[in-house]
Amino acid sequence: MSVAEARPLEPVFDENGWFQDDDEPAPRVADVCLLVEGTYPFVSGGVSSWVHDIIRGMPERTFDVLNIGSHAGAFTKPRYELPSNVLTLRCLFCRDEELPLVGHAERTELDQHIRSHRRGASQPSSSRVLNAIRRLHLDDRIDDALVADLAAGDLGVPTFLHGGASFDLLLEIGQHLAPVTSFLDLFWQFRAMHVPLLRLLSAPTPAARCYHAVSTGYAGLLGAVWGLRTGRPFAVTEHGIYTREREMELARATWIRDDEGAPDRLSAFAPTPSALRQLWARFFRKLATVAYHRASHIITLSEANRRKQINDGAPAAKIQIVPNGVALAATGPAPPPGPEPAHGPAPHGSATPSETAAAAAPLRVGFVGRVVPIKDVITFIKACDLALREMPLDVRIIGPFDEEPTYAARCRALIKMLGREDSIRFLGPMPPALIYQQIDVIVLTSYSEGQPLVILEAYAAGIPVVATDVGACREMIEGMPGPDQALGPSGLVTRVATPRDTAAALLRLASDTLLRRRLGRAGRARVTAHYQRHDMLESYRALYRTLVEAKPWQE
Amino acid sequence: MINASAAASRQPSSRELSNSRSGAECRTESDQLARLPVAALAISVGIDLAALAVAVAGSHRPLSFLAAAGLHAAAVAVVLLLAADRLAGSRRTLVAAMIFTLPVVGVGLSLLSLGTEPGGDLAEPAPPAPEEPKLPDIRRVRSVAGALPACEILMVAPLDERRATLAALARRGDANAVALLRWLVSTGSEMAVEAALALDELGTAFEADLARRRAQLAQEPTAAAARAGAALIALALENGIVEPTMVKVLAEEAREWLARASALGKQQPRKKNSDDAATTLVRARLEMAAMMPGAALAILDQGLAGASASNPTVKQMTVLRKEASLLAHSDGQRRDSWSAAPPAAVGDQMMNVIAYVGGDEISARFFFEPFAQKE
Repeated sequence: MSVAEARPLEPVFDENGWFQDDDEPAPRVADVCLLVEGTYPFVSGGVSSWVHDIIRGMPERTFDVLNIGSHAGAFTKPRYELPSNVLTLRCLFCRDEELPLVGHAERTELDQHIRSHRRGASQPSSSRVLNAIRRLHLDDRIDDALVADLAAGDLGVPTFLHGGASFDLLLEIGQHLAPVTSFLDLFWQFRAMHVPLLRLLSAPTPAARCYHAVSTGYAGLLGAVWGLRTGRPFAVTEHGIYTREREMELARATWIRDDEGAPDRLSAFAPTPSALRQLWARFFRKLATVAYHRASHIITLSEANRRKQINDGAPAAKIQIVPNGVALAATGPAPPPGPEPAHGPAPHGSATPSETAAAAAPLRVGFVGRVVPIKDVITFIKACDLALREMPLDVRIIGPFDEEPTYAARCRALIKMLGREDSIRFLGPMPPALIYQQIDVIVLTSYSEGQPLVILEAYAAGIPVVATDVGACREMIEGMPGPDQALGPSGLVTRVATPRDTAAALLRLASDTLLRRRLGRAGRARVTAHYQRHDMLESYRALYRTLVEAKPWQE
Repeated sequence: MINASAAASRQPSSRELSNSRSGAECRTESDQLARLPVAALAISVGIDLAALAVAVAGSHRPLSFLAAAGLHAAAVAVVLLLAADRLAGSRRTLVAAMIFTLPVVGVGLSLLSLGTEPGGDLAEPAPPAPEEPKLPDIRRVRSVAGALPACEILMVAPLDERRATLAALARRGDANAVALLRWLVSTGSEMAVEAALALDELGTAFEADLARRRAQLAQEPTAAAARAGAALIALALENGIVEPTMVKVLAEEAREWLARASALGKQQPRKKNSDDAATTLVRARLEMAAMMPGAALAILDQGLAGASASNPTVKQMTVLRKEASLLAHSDGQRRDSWSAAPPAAVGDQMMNVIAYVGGDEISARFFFEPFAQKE
């Protein structure tokens, strides 16, 4: 079956979480085991599109996809049809499904079971995994011995929960890192932190010629451990910086209680994060460092991310920048060399007849992406409302809105409250070839991005972009230092969550046809020079070749 | 509480009864006792005493208890039948109930209750003496003196401290905290995204509250519900949780709710005065928050003219009027166009000092003249 013939897939998993594939009854060793966290193929979006594109773009390679999810109910229906070169799709879950409340008789039986287990489980103090956990928290060194201890997998969840050695470790960590924290809070956070880790470490290691994690965190750690267990190489690609994203979440997390009335805070001039928040942040930093340490190659999307990774402990020599790429033909025909503006008034009385005719039609503004909070569609709507006060616009929100129905409803309510139902419309998902034919300007108001494909697709179609200053957006719009910057800007950069900025940028583009034309041309030149899909695929092809052929596979 | 001085100013009769335990002063009228059904009550006591004797003499035999119960029922029946011409229905029932519940002594207690009536007035208790202000702990004073202002922490402190400060600001969610978060967003610094997310969380919580209020008002349209919804919007505008672009729309909605509150308030004439004052106060707060101090001033002047001095909201209205007056005179021109440049970035004009001491947050806000104006 060729890559183009993708299989319609309703995944069925066996008791171990392995995808049942009738076409491939005998499991084969895949060239690449791709490890992802909560994305492909169940969630649409940047990372999932990228994974799908990589797999489809390399029909000569076979892949196993391992998706790490929070719990079994987290994944429902895949958003992508798995290409035929995916041998297995497997899901690992960090925690069990919620158990129903049990009655008195069942509870008594359960208590007896736990007690008998506790009596029988004399936790050996020499557990290597427990020693590794101790080192993760109390020792700054990251070395192969630590990863080897983690890979030993000699500690199960029940033994960890009921063993005396793990309780002693909890006490030790409490004494050193959280001396004034409530012991109960520490206990539950300690449990929540390590149970997923142990569940993942005790999962069977899938055979593959190399392991490639698409983030650090649990996926990166598992890739590092499996690579060590099998003696196969391991690489990590980071789109966003996982550790930074987790730290942002942890700082605002309401499920971590802060220390109250801790005596050491009295003398502090500034608030410090609570010991539990620091414990979590340190844990995720350590997971990332383990992945950086074991990875033979660390790939990132932009120079800005490369600097952050180095700052977080990644060896500079291992880091390689491979930007995302798009196929120039995918977004429809290329604009003519001297494109006439489709819409909007021409300045200084230089309007051609076609421009004059188009001037009557409002500028077509597009938001392309999932309608989810991280994209800050609310700011986009507010910005369009502000701009609509000054001139007519035809605003289209293109993308799935069923992922976060509450947020989509909030966006619709806002549009209704502003009385903009006629001007701002939800069009749902559409194929890229259709999207860019009906848009004059693409706007991105996200809080967080890696290297958004939508910007590249807009460039390929010769459409200027207005985007917030997050991820690699500035670099993509203003150019990387060197010849790229000489191409000139290909859009306008705005501040996050600032509708006024975005509205001003829209009005500027709507009123200056020449500017729009110039930015569109620069975008097309930029994507042609630096962000082509075949360049990206070639980079990964070379990477996989190196990894797969690193040394002969030993069955 | 009963006003003791009001009761003491009357000439108490010798038969006046007082209830010192509850602080009540009661009095009896001399003619009231004359109208009591004394004979019926005396007969009732007699029958009850006989019932008691039968019960005691019966040596715990069931029949004796039965006879005693019958006699006690007769004692109650006597009062009900013989006192019919002297006692009104409810009073008669009260006496019968007391006699039935408390054999023998019930008669005496019913006499007391019939002979008394409330004589005092309701009044506020005397206000407690103001507490002496406590001097703060010296360690706290030193900590505050040495603390960095929040905006400085957000600029120069290590990343984890900046994050912790930002999280603390998001938890506060008041005007000072929101102003700092907005300032942080405007800087476009590394923390801008996190500040924007914190603002988004505050905005989401406000929208959820607002949706609840809307549903509540649709389900049960009352003046109080309409006013509470408008007050919620006014508070969000005051705190700056609502973004400037949304002020106009939300203020309009709040004005509609207040008009509705007024209309619904007219259907409840008993509470009209207090409702009017409360609505006026919310309306004025709303206009102030929507940067319409002139409108707020007019509303407050009208409200103060119609309010009685005893109304508790008058004091709040007076304070707000001063503020509105200052604002209306200092900057009478309202900036209608969103595209007009703001007078200066928030951070240029304002410095919030929020120190964290022993888990408590102490805040102060300073305004600075922009440098250009100084020159």
